[in-house]
Amino acid sequence: MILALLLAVAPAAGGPELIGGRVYRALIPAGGARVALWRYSASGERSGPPVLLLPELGFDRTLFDPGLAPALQARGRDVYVLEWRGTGRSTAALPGMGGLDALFSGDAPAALGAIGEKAQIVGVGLGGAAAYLLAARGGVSAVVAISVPAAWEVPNEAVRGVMRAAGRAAGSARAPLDLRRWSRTPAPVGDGRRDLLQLLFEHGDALGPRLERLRDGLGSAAPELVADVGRWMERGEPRLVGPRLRDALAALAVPLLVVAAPRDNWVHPEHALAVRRLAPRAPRDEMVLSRIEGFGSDAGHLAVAAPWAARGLFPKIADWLDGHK
Amino acid sequence: MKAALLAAALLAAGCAIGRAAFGPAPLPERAGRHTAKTPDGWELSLVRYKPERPAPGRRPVLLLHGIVTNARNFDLDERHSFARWLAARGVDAWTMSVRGKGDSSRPALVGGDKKWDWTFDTYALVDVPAAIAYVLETTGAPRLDCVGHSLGGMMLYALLARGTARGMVGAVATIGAPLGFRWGERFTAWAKRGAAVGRRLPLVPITAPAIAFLPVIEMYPGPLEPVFYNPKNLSPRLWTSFLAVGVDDEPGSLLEQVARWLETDRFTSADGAFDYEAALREVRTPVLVVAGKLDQLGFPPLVRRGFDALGGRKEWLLVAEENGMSADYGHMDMLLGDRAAADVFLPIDRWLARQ
Repeated sequence: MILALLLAVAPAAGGPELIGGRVYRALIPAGGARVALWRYSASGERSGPPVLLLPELGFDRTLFDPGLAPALQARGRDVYVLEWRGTGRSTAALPGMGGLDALFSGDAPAALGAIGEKAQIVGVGLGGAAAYLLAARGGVSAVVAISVPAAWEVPNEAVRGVMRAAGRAAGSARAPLDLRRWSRTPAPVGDGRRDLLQLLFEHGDALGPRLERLRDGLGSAAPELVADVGRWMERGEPRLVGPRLRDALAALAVPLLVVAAPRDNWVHPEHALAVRRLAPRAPRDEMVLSRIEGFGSDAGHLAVAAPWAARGLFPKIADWLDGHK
Repeated sequence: MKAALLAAALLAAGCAIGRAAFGPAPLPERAGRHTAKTPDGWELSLVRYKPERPAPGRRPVLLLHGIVTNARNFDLDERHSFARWLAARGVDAWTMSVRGKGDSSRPALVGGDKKWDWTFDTYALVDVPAAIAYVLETTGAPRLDCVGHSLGGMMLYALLARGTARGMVGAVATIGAPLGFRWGERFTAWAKRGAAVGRRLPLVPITAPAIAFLPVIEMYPGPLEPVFYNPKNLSPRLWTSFLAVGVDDEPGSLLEQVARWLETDRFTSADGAFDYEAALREVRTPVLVVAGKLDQLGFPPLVRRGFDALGGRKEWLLVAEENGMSADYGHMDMLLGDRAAADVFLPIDRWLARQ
C-alpha cells in the first residue's frame, strides 16, 4: 500500500531535461516528495554566481517566468527556480510531509544542494523566509528578500475571516487544499467583488491577464502547511523542527536586499522591515516599492509580476546582485 | 534686502487675504472658544465642542494636531470634522492649537518678548499639559482621553514617556505618528534635506507659500499629492481649502530637533539626553495605535515601532481595505477624508469608549 502510494506520487528523478530556450528541468528528491528545479542557463559567458529563485508558497515558476528568471539569465546568470512540493511539476507531499518544515528543511536545501555551488537567492514571501534560513546555514552569498515576513502576525480582517472559516472546516480538512479553487473564494471584506487572490496578492498592482496565469499555476497545500502558516501568523514565528527563523535572522551575516511593498495585504511592510531589528549583523539595503520612491506603483505582494517590474525592478535587483557577488 | 522684505510683506499680505477669503468656518452653536495659559506665559487656543446629549460615562477627548498644522486638522467644516462628529456622539470634544499655531499666541514679526525658539519638547511637555489641566479644570472630569495626529501623536508618546500627565489621561489614540525615521531611501533623503535647510532658518515659512500656490496646487496636485493623502479619499479642492486655513509656520529650533531624529533614527528630547522611545516600555496607559496603509509620512513600519515600544495595554489598527475600510488611507485623509467618519473616527471612538 505504502509502496503503491510512493510510486503514485513520486515519479522517478531524472537528469535535467531540456525544455527549450536554454531552459532545463530536473526532479530532485527532497524527502517525501520530488521537487522540480528549473534551470535557465546563462546567456553567453557566466557573469556571476548562480541565482536561486524561491517563489511564494503555492505559486509555480510562472511567478518568475516571464519576468525575473529570463531577465537575470540575459544578464549572464545561471538561474534556478524551485517549485515547492505540491506546485508546478513537483509532486505532492506524502501524507504528513507537507508542512513548513518539509519545505524549508527539505525542498529548499535540496535545491541549493543540486546547484552544487555557493549561490545568491531571491525569495518572495514565505519563499524568502526559506532563503533567510538557508543563508544562516551557509552556502549562500547574498539574499534578496521581497515581501518576506521577518516577524509576522495575522495581517488583516480578511485573513482573520479566512482563518475562522478554516477553523470551522478543520475537522474535514484531511485532503490538500486546492489553492486554485481556494483563490476564487470571495474576499470576506469589501464589496464582495474581489476574490482572495485579488485582495491579498494583487492589491496595489493591476496584473491583468497575468493574474489568471498565476492563478492557473497555483498548486495545492497540505493541511499541515495550512495549519503551520496559520500558527506562524498567530504566534509570530513559524514552528520548525530545525533552527528557528528568529535565531537564523540573528545569526545572518550575508548581504541582504530587503524589499517592502506598501500595499501588500499578505506581508505588510512592517513585517518585512522587522528585519531591521531582527537581523542586526547582516549588511542591509532596502527598497520600498512606492511611487514616492520612484517605482511604478504603490506595490502589492506580487510586485515581481507587475507590468512595470521589467523596467523598474529587475534591473535594480540584478545590479544589486552584481554588486554582491 | 529691500526686495526680500517686499517679497515677505507681499507673501504675508497674500496670506492674510487667503485666510480671510476662506475664513474660519463658523463654529457650531454649542461650541465655544477657550484660552489656556502656559506656565511660561503663552496663550493657547482651545475650542470646546460640547455635546447636546452627553454620553454617560465618557471622558472628555482632547485632539492634538501635527507638525505645521493647527486645530483645523480636526474641524475643517461640517462634513470634515472629527471634533463635531465626536460631539454628535455625545463626547465632550476639545481641539487645541499649540503655540504659534492657529489662534494661539505667536511671536510678533518684529519686537516683542516671544521668540520663535521652541522645540518639540515645548509642545509635548509644556503646551499639552497646560491644555489638559485646563480641560480637566473646566469640565470637572478627573481624567480625559487624548487623540494625536502625526506629531500630535508623538507629543502624546513623549508626554506618556515622561509621566508628565500621569493620572490625568485615561486612554490615548495616536494616528499616523512615526517613532522611527527611516522611510524609503528617497523619502528619507528628502526629509533630511528639508530638515537641514529648516534648522538653519529662524522661522520655517509654510503658510505663505502654501497659500500663494493654492490655485496651482488645486489644478495640479502633482507628485507630492500621495505624500499627503490618497486622492481616492480627498479631493484637491478640499485639500486646498485645508491648506488655506490649516497650516502654520514652525520655528527652525523645532526642525533642529527633527533633524537630529533623522540623523540618529532615535526619538529623543531636544538635548538628546532622554530617549522617549525607550521610556515607553514603562507606560501603562492604554494606547490605540492607528496607521494608514498608504501613509507616506506616518509610514506604517515607523508607526509600528511606536506600538512595539509600548509596554502597557495597546491595540494596532491599520486603516485599509483589507480591514473592511472603504479604501487604503494616507496621512491627512485619515482626518479629512470624505469617509473618515466611518473608516477612522468610528473605530477610534469605539475603542476609547471601551477603555
